[in-house]
Amino acid sequence: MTLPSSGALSLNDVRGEFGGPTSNVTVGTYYRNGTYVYNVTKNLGVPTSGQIDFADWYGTEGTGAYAKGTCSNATTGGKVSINHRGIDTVGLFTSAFGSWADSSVTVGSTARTVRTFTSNQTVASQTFNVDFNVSSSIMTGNFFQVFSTSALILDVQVTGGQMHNTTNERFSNSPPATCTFGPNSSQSSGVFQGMPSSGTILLQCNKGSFT
Amino acid sequence: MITWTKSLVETAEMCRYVDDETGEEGESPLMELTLTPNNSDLTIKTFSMRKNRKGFDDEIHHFEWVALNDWMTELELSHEIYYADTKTLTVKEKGKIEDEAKVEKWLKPNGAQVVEPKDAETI
Repeated sequence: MTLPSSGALSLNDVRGEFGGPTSNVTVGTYYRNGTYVYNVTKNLGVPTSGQIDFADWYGTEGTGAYAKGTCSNATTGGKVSINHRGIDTVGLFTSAFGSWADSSVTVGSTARTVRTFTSNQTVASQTFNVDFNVSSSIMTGNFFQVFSTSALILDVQVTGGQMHNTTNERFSNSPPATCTFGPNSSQSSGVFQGMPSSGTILLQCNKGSFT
Repeated sequence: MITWTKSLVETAEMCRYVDDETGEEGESPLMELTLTPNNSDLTIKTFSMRKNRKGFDDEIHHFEWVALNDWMTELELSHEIYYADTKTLTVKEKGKIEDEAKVEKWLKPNGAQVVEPKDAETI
């Protein structure tokens, strides 16, 4: 759901879409990159400060279409320890870390519950580990976008997702589990940043193209 | 333990929106959520959102979790030691083992005699 793209918008229309306080609401409450208006593609027309016009909110959307969570990180033990970042409520390789506030996301044509979305940061061939509580590969061919509250941090199409264990599917920047990064993601320049170790993220699937 | 009363009220204010799937425009009432902690030293939290917005229930649940974190801060509970559990919306101690069976096993590794005793000669 989005805000209309024409006609008169009221502050209540905006508040209804993005959520907000029950009093002392001003247009400044709904700058992009603020508490309520995330920096996702549909909201790029909203200024981050200064003068704002109600038309700036035409076609914008709240976080309802996204899975939403808080990232953290954890490191495996052993001689070659690996730091995993993002959200892992299963505890695939370490104790569980991070949490999902909204874990609902549609992958392909099926509504799923995301449990884990992490990347590791230590080994040369860096890998994303994902868990939708499904015992078969479901990611190949799908586009995934991850946003922090202020930026696009992952824009990827999974080209060869592979099951790693029971419900854990993987894709990586090198074979055998493969993916392609979008032109506007930080990974396209060869700098592989992966998932953050803290802060709020929004996960979107099924956009059907790079952002 | 931090407990609170939740009040969700439908207001007379209507909000416009567009349904992504049908492309049709609609209107829905603005809802107001008030979380009143039973401890009067803590602040009341309020939140508003359109009634039928996608993910409405999840957003309400998330707001309660955010409020619980705020109240922990107001009570000066260390976030290094305690955390607000997302599912149960309760304050828990990090790393604490709460499963009684696990605690029993931890304190008495073979307390339930799962491994049968063997005499020294057999071993």
